[in-house]
Amino acid sequence: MIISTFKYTLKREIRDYTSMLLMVFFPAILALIVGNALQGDFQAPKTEKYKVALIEGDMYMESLKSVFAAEAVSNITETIILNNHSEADNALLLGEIHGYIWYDSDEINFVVEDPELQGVAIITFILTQFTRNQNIFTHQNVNYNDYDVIGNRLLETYIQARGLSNNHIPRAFDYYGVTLTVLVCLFGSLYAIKIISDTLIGRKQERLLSVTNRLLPIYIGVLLASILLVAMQISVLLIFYKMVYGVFLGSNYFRLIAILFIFIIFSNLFGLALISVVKDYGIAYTLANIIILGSTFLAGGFVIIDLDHFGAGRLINQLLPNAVCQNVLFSTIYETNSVSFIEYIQVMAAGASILIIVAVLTNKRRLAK
Amino acid sequence: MSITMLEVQGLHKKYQNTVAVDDVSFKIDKQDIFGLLGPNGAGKSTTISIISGIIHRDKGEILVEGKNFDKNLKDIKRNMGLVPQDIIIFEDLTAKENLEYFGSLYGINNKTRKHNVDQTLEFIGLTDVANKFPKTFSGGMKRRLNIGCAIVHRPQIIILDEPTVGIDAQSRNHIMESIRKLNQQGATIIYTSHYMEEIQSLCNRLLIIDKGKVVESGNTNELLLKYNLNETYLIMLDKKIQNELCKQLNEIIGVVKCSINEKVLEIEAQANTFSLKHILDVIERTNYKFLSINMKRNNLEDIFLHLTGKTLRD
Ligand SMILES: Nc1ncnc2c1ncn2[C@@H]1O[C@H](COP(=O)(O)OP(=O)(O)OP(=O)(O)O)[C@@H](O)[C@H]1O
Ligand SMILES: [Mg+2]
Repeated sequence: MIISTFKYTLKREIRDYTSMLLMVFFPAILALIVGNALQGDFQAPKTEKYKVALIEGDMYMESLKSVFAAEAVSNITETIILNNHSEADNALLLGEIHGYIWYDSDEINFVVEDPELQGVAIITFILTQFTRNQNIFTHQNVNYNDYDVIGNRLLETYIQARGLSNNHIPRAFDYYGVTLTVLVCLFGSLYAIKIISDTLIGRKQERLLSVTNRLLPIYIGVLLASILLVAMQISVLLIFYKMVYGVFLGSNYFRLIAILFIFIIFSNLFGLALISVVKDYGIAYTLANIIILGSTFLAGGFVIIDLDHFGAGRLINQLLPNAVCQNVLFSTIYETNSVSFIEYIQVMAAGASILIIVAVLTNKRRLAK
Repeated sequence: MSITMLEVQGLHKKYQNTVAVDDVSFKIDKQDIFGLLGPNGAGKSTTISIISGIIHRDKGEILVEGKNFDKNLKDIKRNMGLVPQDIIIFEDLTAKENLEYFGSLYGINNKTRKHNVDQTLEFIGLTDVANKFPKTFSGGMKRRLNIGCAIVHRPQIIILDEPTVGIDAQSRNHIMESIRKLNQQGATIIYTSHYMEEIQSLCNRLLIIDKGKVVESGNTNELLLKYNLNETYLIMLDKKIQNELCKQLNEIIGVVKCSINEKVLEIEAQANTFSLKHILDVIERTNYKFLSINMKRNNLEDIFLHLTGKTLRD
């Protein structure tokens, strides 16, 4: 029953060319649009140089000055030398500089106005390298507005996101390529919703119930078909990204595919749970779209919002399945080990169990009526 | 002695605030063609959904071949074929694939399945379009495929919920003939319809329900006789008819009413009183010649009207 349901569901879906069109071309077109927009932006950067002030100090500051004077750095940043803190604070307030650096006992401090600026990350990177070479204990990034210690976290996020590791300097599309892939995996849940409501909801379900008491094999067959279709779609997407944009995917393809495959299963289970609860294709489809886009927004896919002020950012990054998936993907591609594969599996297994329980409970109730 | 195939006692089903089936009992023998008759919302589909294991009943006993329904549901379902009221087939699978898929769901093995599918295609007259998609089919062809999906596993009990709704006369006749054939091959048939003529010509036993309750049940012919109160004759004569003739005809035992319309006599008489012979005698004696005779018998429609005071299709 599982096998024949799988087989005939595949046949049905492949013949349904409108949905095939949507599922294969939609991500490709999305990728084209986003990709072109981002590529244009990055090939001809018009970005303002990051203006940073160095405050006079001991010999460490002297060596740091020479680092900032180096050509590679001075291409990106503009450095001025100031005498003390209050001068630097003034300059920051007047907008003459974006941040300043000073040395204090055994720490280098980096005070910034806007931690999300690209330059912050670059300077953070330089500082990390520098402190390592000079045997300085540590360095800190300090947000000028609240003087919170955000250095480590910022560095970590930056390395995850921009991948200043694995000897690869990422372009924007390397980052968005991965985020988009996760988004398209999530869109795969729409497949599950469609196929299940075409097969196992309402009159069709009644028809099947007159054939057999056990709908479980049919559910499994249908889900397997949906998972395979989404997996095919993601493969097409990844090949497209790689060929057209040369998206950097690291070297551990096996791990990468495993991560994505697990996420596709999760996404399909999400579709199953949603249609089981809602029982109506139209509503489930709309809800899924809202949830997918909303969670992508929260997971920092397209819009980076600083939720750390509310302490929520960290939580979302650890609990929101697509955030976890993105993080583990970046971590695998850039070999930063910020999220381990095991951690990822644990989050997915927990999420999947909840979804399965929801689906089973809602379906039990319906049959008992 | 006939074998009881299905026995239902005191079936009851309530939706939120509608009682859909109310204390319905009936018995169906092996190889019966059992007609379930009732107006819209009578509870036919609900009754059928219960006995095909789709929905749960609130109360009532069901025995299939003497076996407990709930305990043997898996086997019972494999031995039953339900043709639902709505056409439920997979639009993106060909006719053949639909049959194959349903066959596999009913658990028949690959070898038997291939044979059964071909036979079923032949039986429902869709062999020529076996590899076409149902969206290219006419309503009648879809209906036939709908039936095919329920008989591909050769069930002993075939339940058809208004299988001829909305199709042309030719497809309808094909379906009726098919049902007779299935019955001759040994299947027990449960059939619901709004079309009286169908039930009357097809079913040997029937159950009339209204608002969830049994109104009447029994052998079709016996019921027709039981309620066959009057027959109406329309007799065409060779010349204009005088009132005098009607007066004489009215004196015949069994004749209830006589009226004249130019050359046509309309006579209502009690059934089974052999009045027709006397009527014709009187006509000959009074120097008229009859050109044609038409007789209208009571049908199930009239019986239903008689029992419930309403027509079946309104
Ligand atoms: N799922 C449901 N929820 C609530 N009420 C229902 C449901 N299904 C049927 N009913 C009600 O139960 C009654 C019997 O419905 P049923 O479908 O069995 O009638 P039917 O005899 O098959 O009618 P028709 O000839 O129109 O098919 C109707 O009043 C109907 O409104
Ligand atoms: Mg009905």
